[in-house]
Parts: sequence; structure tokens; C-alpha cells
Amino acid sequence: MILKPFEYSSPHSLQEACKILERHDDAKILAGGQSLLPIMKLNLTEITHLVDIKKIPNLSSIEVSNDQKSLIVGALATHADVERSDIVKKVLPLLAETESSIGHPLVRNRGTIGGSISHCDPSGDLCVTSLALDASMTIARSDNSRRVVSAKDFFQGTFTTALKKGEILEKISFPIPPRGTGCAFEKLTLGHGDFPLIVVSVVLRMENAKCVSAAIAIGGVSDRVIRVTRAEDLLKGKVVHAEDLERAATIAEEESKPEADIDVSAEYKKKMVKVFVQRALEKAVERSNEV
Amino acid sequence: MAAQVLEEKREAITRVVNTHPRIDGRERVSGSAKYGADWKVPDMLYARVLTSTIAHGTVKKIDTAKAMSIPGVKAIITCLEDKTIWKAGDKDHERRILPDHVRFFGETIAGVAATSRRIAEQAVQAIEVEYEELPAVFSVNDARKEGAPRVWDEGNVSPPINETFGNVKKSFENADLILEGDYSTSKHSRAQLEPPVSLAWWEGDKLTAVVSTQTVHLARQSLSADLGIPMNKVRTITLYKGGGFGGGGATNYDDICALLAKKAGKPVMLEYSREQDFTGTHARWSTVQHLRAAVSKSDAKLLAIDLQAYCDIGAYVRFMRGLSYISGPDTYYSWDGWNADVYGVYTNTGTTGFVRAPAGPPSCFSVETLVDEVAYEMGMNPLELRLRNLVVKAHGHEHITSNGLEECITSGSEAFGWREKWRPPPKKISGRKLVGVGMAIANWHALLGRGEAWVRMTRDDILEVYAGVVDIGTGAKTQMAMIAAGVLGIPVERVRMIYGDTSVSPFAMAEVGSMTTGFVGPAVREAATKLRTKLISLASSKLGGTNLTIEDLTITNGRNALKISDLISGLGVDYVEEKAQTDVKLPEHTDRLSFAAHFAEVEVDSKTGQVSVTNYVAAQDSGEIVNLLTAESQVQGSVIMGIGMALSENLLIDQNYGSVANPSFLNYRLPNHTAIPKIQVIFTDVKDPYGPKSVGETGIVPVPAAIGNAIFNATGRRLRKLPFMPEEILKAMES
Amino acid sequence: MMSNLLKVTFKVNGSSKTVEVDTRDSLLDVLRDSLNLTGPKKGCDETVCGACAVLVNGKAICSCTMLAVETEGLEVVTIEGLSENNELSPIQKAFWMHDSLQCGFCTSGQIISSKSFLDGLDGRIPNEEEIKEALSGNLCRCGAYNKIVEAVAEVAAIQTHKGKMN
Repeated sequence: MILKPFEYSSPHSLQEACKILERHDDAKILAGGQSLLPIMKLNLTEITHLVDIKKIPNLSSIEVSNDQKSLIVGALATHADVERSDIVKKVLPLLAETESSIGHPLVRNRGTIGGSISHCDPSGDLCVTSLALDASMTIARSDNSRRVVSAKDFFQGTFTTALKKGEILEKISFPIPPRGTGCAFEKLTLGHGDFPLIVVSVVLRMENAKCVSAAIAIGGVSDRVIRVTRAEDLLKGKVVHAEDLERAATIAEEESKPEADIDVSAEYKKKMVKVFVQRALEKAVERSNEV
Repeated sequence: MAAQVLEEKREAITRVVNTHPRIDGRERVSGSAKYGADWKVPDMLYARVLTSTIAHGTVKKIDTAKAMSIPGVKAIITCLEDKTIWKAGDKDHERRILPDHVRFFGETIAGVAATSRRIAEQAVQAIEVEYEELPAVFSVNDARKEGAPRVWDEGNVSPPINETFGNVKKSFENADLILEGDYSTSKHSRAQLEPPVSLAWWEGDKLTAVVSTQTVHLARQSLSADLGIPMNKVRTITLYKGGGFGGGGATNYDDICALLAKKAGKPVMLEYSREQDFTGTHARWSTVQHLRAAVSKSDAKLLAIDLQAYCDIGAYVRFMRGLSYISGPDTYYSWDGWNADVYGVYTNTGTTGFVRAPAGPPSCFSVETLVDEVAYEMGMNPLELRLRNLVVKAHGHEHITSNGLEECITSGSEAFGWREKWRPPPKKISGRKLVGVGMAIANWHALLGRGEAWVRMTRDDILEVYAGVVDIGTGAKTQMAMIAAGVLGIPVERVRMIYGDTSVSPFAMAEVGSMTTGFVGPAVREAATKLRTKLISLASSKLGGTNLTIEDLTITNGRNALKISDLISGLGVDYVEEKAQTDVKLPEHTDRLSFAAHFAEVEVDSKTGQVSVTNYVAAQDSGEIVNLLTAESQVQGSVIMGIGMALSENLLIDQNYGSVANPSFLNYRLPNHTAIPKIQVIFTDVKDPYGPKSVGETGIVPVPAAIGNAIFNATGRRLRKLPFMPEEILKAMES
Repeated sequence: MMSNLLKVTFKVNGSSKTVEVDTRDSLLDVLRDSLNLTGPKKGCDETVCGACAVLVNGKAICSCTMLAVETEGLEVVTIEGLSENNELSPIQKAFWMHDSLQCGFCTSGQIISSKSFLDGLDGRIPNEEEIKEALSGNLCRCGAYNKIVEAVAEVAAIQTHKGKMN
């Protein structure tokens, strides 16, 4: 149980929430709590103030932008909301697939997309997928202004994001891939619903069997989620064959530096990077043909 | 008590319904069943334990001043002042409930009772301890080394437990095929879903303890012996327990809780966290085994096994007095000879003891894998080899009361589609998903022994059955109710079980060793039969006639009828009662065994080594099945626990500190819904003269072997180490 | 030790409750200790076993990983709230009849997750894989998994059939 006492507030506006964060050195945002509360129960943190943002309206919507080019998801949309959303399934199934793999339904009914992304776990499923999709994060500040940070600038290190003191992630904008794009998501866990060991998210934009652009994002292999640009460049602009996909997967393996866990070795994880990247690429090519 | 009397009883229960939903099902599905931690008594305090952060050494100082000064802290006891011996804590050594000489990381060294759980936890954190650390050993290899630090004075390696029959040397001389291999099995937690809990309060010098145990009576004996109070001053209660999978007697936390309650002068509830359950309670020992099999190729006869095993028994061993850590398969086949030398090796790594079929799965794993290797070597269908070596007499000369092994193999294999599905393993691995099938056989003891029951027919048509069962999920209560109801010809709904409380229920051994139905069942049956006779005799003096029957709560002589309720009220009493004490003994040189044959189908991912079990058939000979519904659940449950042993469960020890490295469901992985296929359970129709045989443990024994054999069949790669981790399977496939 | 106490008002099993809680208290602890609803169980206290599951605004969540203070204005339903006037709900009855339980400790959580899943089906008949996935956060050490799935499948079929008839 949580032993360290803390104050709790539940403001009704983002601006108010930002101001509270600015006022306290050890204040934290409470969204779904599925990452934060287990950490607090270990009693190794010094959190003195929890700012519950769930009373703030308009933070959980899921909608397509006016120009139809982006899917905009509010930070407080739960994993279950996103997983089940018809809009998401239609325009960005990769995101629904990613969400459906997180933990188990009890966690998904409570945990939020904004919470997961702000938590910035080096093997975070949503971090990997938002990096693969070149998402942009809209950040709210205490002066009520907003700034937008791209996914690649947002994830800066283990549990470290671009969020400065007093800032709160408001929404995430995902460019909707054009027709002919194939996406795939693969992950390695030792048990269903476990913390992911390796996460792979792949977005291949194809035009007439030629790869226009590729995004290969991996989690669990570094201090943050990464894009394997060397592998992406290999595929870009080419008519891709099975050997190219394998070569790209090998590059991904080479770029990966996973660490061992108590019951799984770093070598195995590295091997699995290649296996899962290759499988994801193959699936993505297949799906790009399906449209 | 001879077999013929039981035969009469079996006739008396031909009317028994043999499938019935649990009689306490309503309580369990509505949330009204009260488990240990659900109890609330006025003025109750909450307790937590402090555990050692070294694996071996002595506690030199404990400073409780800061802790005692926290408002709300009411009592603290530490290992420096308490000397209470936990008699059930170790089979050979004196073990204290709060030892100041600690032998594993996580030993209980102090207990705190406070007005809230949070305050108790804060107080525990505020206790300061100074240790004098001693060198420690965390593995069998290290413990066996010359000059290794000693866990106990007598040395780390116990003299071997030897089990032998026949002439093994001769068998190996005569064999024209000898195969051998090294096998290992991992440390296996019970991991029942309810964390340990104890609630105690004193009224003067009388102690009442609500314990979470598999045996209220042995728990009461334990508390009385440990705390030095007479039995008649101790009452123990267990109405609902959230799973057990191995236990008995009272525990150290029961003793600690009672002492805190005494010191504080208030009721105390002591709870363990999930982590403390993993680190502080007993688990199944891990094993390293070397086996040699002597075989006669010409007639496909398994001749003999020679087995050497080293088992990591931790720092303490509970319950295992007189028992070997590897045993059982000596009766699986019609061996000419068997020799097993089993060494228990102490390490500074926690406690080992009874866990669902204690020696079963580790023993079956090595033998049934080796037998499978023999079949492969001889180019035989593994099913054929087993059918050719069916055991007839255990150890070559012991009579087996009933033997349904062959039926298990034939009906199980048919239901599974073995003949259609089996083909030799692939020479080359190709394709992404590799499918394979494997089988294993096993048996488990089906004990008989002392039981006691009281049965009362009340004037309002309720049949009260008093039995010392606990019902940790086995369905024991329902079975006893069905037996009694069957004898008296009344609906099961009219039975009220009074159980789980030493102040009202008669003695019962424990709900362990699959003994309950065998021990308590006959007593219930006999008491109910005596009651039936008594009621009939009482009625006959009113009705006249000699051929009276009971049906629908009415006694009739064919012409006139008398309602039982009228009979009893007419006597001016509230109930008519009968008691029975039974102690069924087997004749000499007789074994009683339940048998199993399991068939598993697996899918192996050739690139990741991940395994999923896609199909499973468990055929079991458990004699007479009292309740088909709950017996089937038991077998499914034991198979699932076996799948966990096979594929994911391994209690790991950090080799630097000796602490448990994965004391959490996060990385001690139990199978969840998605890992489990439909498990088909078949009970054979083979009758045993004594009735029901063991059910709940038999089903776990062959599981890891069946799955390992299926993985071999799918990949052509033999794995001899549990659990089968994807990484190991992949390595094997790539070599 | 300083503590922060707040009053929260929320609905539990249909009735409104106002409870003074410590900000550190989990919903599970408040339900069990302050409101005497001991149906939900503490199996692990770390969001893995699901024995603590309750419905919050109709969705099953781990009450061990939700603070009591977060319940302000919300509707909580525990296993005790599923029966009406001592009449068991269809899913509870199905669990009982199918023997979808053994020791019963995980049962409250399994039933809550099942209810949440069944309520979200909208007349669809789920397949076995879907049911297993929906309950993948509820561990059962006794191994009642097969029969739990059977019970849920039966209730899903009945409620779909009833829905079609209406």
C-alpha cells in the first residue's frame, strides 16, 4: 500500500492543472493511474501532490481533423476507448491493434493513451506506434498556450519526455496514412498481457509495389523507443522483395541493444527483434496490397 | 473395516446423485463467503512482519524504539526476545517462529500490531536491524562444494534416501539398450490466490484463531504445542480458504499472530503480502537428476531404472519426514528393478515442502521423458511401448486394489485421436508453426485412513453432517453432503455441513494428499448408514413390519407411512444422531493407486520457440467418482497447474543475495485464460473395492512430461529442463 | 504521521455513500474496510490477478489500482451488487451451475469482468478467443478457466437470444 502521504487535487481546467504542477516540485499528474499507482506502492518515490486531471472536460475525444488528414486523440482516452473506436479501426487500425495488446482489459479500461505516452517507457507500445506514425504531441502550458512536439523529439530517454515542469500532454495527432499503406504491430512477451520485452511497429507506404516510405519503430532495445532509419532507407524508393525485408530486419537487429531480464537473455531479445521486424514488414506489405 | 462392509455401503448409495453443484456455490458467487481477511471483529488490530534482508547470519540488534513511538502501534515482538519453536516448521531441526539465526533472505524476525495496516507497515519500516552476516550458498552446486558454508551443522548434503527393488545391476547387464540423460525441474510455488492471513483473539487463557489452513485440527494441535497451551483452550476456524495446494498444521505467522494478540490484549489480524507469500512460505524443491534406463529391445521391455538425484530443499523442509523427494515412477511400469538415490541438499533459499503431488511431477518428468526417448530410439509409437509395459503388481509383488491404467491409455488416446495425430518427429524443421503430440502416464497414492463424522437428522427435515473438512476448493463439503444424502435418500439441498471449526466438528486429518474423500468419506457413509438403520428401527416400532424403506423424507412399510419429521418430533427430541469413526486399512502388500494417462498437443513457433498447448486430454482412473462436476474441475485445475510448471513457472533465486528474484505474479507467471485450451477429462469406469480414489493431485503429475514429449514430437528436439522457456527451445532448434 | 483526509461521495451498488478517506487509500481498501463489501479480494495488490475487480461506470477495473478519491461522482458496483433481492444474476447462476469456481477467491473478479464483457456485447455472440481475452486479467490458480468460459458463452447466447426475441 501507499505509505507516503500526498495531497490530492482535481482541477477543472488544464491551465489550473498546469499551475498546480508548477507550484510543487514533487507533483505528478494522475490520469488512469495504471503506471503511476503501482510505482507509488513501492514507496520509493517522493510524490507529495497528485493532480487528477480526469475532471477536465474535452480531453478524451477521438476524432478526425477537419481536413481529414489526421486522427486526433485526447490524452485521457482510455486504451479501451481507442481499441474499440470505430473511427480508429477505420482510419488507423495500427493504433487500435497496439491498444488492444496492452496489458489486459482491466488495465485497458482505466489506463489512458496520454498517460502511457507521457510515462515514456523504453518499451512502451504506444510510444513505439506513435513514433512509427510520426505523431505530434500537443502540450498545454500554464499560460494557456500550446506547443506541438513531434514524436521523435518527445521521447527523450527512459521515463523522460519533452514535457517541462508545469506542462501537460493534451492530445496526440496521428497523420492518417494514405491508401496503399500497410501497417503492422508485433510484440514479444513471455506471457499474454505481460510487460512487453520487444515491441515493433511498422508503417510502409507503397505505390505499385514500390516502397515510397518506411517507418520501423522498436521498443525495448535502447533507453528510448527508436526508429531504425538505416533499415528504412534500405527500403525507401525500392520495389521490395522478401530479401529486402530480411535485410531490413537484420539491420534492425544490429541497431538493437536490449538488456537481459531475470529470465530472458539479451541475445534472445536481439534475435527476436529480427524475427518480429521481419514478420511485421511481411504483414505490412501484405496489408498494403489488401486495400 | 473390511471391504465387504464397504460393498454394502456402496449398494446403499446406488441412489446417490453423482453430479451436483457446490452446496456453498451461492456464497462463493455472491461475495458473501468470508475468507480469512474478510473477517472483522471489534477492536481488531492489524499486523505485519519484518523479514531478514540477509540470507544467512545472526540478528545482533533490533531497535524498535522508533517503531513503538508511532501512534497506533500496540505491540511488537522480535526474534531477540521470543524463543517459540515452530514445531511444524522443519522436519529435522528446531525452527523458531522468529529466529535470530536466519537461514534465508526473508525469514520472519519481528512482528508488529497496530491500529491500521498502514501504521503497521510504517512501523515495520521504522525498525532498525543490525546483522552479523555469514557466508551463504544459493545453489546445489555451491552447497556441494568442499568447504562450502553450512546451512546446518551436519552439512548441506543429507545421506541419500534410497528406494530399491529387484536387481538393477543384473537388469543393466541383460539389457541390449541403455539410455541415459540429465533432467532438471524448477522450484515451484503454490501461489494460491489468497495471500496468507491469520486472525487471533484471546478470551482469558482461551485462544481462538481464524486460520487459512488445509486442516483446522492439525492447526489446533500445532498452536497448542507451539504456544504451550492445552488443546481444550484452543479453537481454530477455517470456513473458506482461497486455495492451498499443499500445507498442514499451523504456520509461523499463525503463532506470531496469536502472540501479538496476547501482548496487545486485542484481536490481531496478520496478513502477508503477495511478495511475502512467494518468499516466506514453502515451495516445491527443484531437482537435478541423472537417469539410466535398461531396456530389452527384442520384446520392447522396460527393465530397470537407476536414478541419482540432487534436490535443492532450501534451508528448511516441512512435512517430508520419511518421504523421498523423487519417487512414484517405481510403480509406473512392471520394472524388474529400480534403484533411486535421492539427496536433499540444503541451501540458504527458503522453505520447501508439500506442493500438489510433491515428488510427483519432477519424478514423472524425468522417467516419462526417458521412456519417450526409449520409444524414439526403438522407432516405436510411444503409446505402444507403454501398452507393452503396463504395471500389474507394484514393485513386482504388491497387489493393486484396482488398476485402470490401460483403460486410461486406451480411452484417452481414442478421445485425443492419438493414432491419427501421431507421426515421428520431423527430421528437418520447416515452416513457422510446428505441431506435435506427446503423452505421459502416472499414478498417485490413494490413501485410506482415519476419519470421523457425526450425522443428525433434525425435526425440520435438515440433515446435519459434522465433518472436519475445510474445503479449500476441492468440493469436499459437497461430496460429504452427497454421500450422506444418498444413503438417506434425501435431496442434497437438505444437508447442512457443519465443518471447519474445531469446537463443533470432529477430527479430520487434513485436506492434503488427496486423502479427504478416502478418509472422511467412509466415516460419513457409515454414520449415515447407522442413522438410516436407527430411523428405520425407531419407525418400525410405530409402523410395524420388517421391510421398511426411506424415501422422500418418509419411512414406509408398504402400507403405512410416517414422515421423519413427525417421527422425531414424536420422540420429543430435536434430532436423532449417529456417529462413526472409521479407519480403513489396506491388507499387507497391497497398494492403492489412482492412474492417469495424459495426451497433449502443442504448437511451437519455429522462430521464437514459443509454445502453446492447443489440445489436451486427461484420462484418469480415480475409482468411484462421488461428484463428477467437481472431480472434473479438480483434474482440469491440476492440468493447468502442470502447464504452468511446464512452460512458465520458476521461482528464481538471485545468486548474489539469495533473495527471490521474482516474488510477484508479474514475473512468476501463472497461466491465464489465454494460455489454456479445452481440457477434456475422462474418468474410467474401473471399480475399486474401497470406493473413491485420489483425484486432485494425480492430474498434475504427468503434465510436464506430456508437454515435453509433445515439443519433441513437434521439433525433433528433446528438452530435459523445466520450465521449457522459448529461448531454450529456440536454441535447441537452431543447434 | 500526517495524512490527507478527503470526503468522497459516490454510488456503491445503487446507493449513494459519502466516506472520509485517506488520499492514499485504494478503492479496494475503502470498499472492504469502510463499506464492509468484502466480495472483491486483495490477491496481489499490483494489477495482475484481477481478484479485486469491480465495475466503475459499468467497466471492470482493478480496484487495487484506483484511489478511493478518484471515485467522486462515479458509480461503483461490486459482486454484492449483482444480485437483486437475493436473486442471483444470470452470470452468477451460470458460474454456480457450471462449476466455474473452486476455492472461490478469484470468483468475484471473474464474474465482474464477465459482466462488463457481456454488457458490452450489444447482442453479439462472442467466440471463445474473445471471451478468454476479455478475462485475461483474471487469474485462477485452481484452474476453473474452461468452465468460466463455458458459463460466459452460455449467458452470452441466452442474452442474445432474449434480445432477438424482444
